[in-house]
Amino acid sequence: MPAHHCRLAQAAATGACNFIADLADSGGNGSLIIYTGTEPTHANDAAATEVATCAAAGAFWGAASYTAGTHTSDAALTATVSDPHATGSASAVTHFRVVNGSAATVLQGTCSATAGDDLVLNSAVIATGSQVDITALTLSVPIDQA
Amino acid sequence: MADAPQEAPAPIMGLKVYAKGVGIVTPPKSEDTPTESEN
Repeated sequence: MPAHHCRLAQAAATGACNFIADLADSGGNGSLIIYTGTEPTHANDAAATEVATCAAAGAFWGAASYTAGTHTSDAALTATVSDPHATGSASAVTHFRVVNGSAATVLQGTCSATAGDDLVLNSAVIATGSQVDITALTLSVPIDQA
Repeated sequence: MADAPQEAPAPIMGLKVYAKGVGIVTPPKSEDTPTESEN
């Protein structure tokens, strides 16, 4: 069995994390969009049905820094991103994307009210007119191979 | 003779970037959704 031991230096992981984080601010303030329906296989695939769009008021993520305890370089939201009046859906949400000011997708992840998903809400169903506040979304780049 | 089907490439183990977060959904206020008591 071949061995795989690709490991980043801390500065490399921090640089990669900053690069991804900065993409969210390209073309204007980024947004976090929550969807219902089948999660696309890839982040570049066509989007599903939008349920809420939480717009950032400024830079999406802050500067990344290395966290010794988790062996990751991490970037946190600069502030809560919100949708004060969600489109809503009777169907449970399934995934989210972070898109930049040019409407280009930066990343995609799972979303539900179930612990263990990437983005965990207090309710998997978002009624029309709900306020949705994303209070935390940490982007992490590990230094060691999974 | 038909070509043999190609095997799918083996998955590549790698550095897995991830994003973890939490959010709060606040339903619309009751005045937006009329109730029987308002009839």
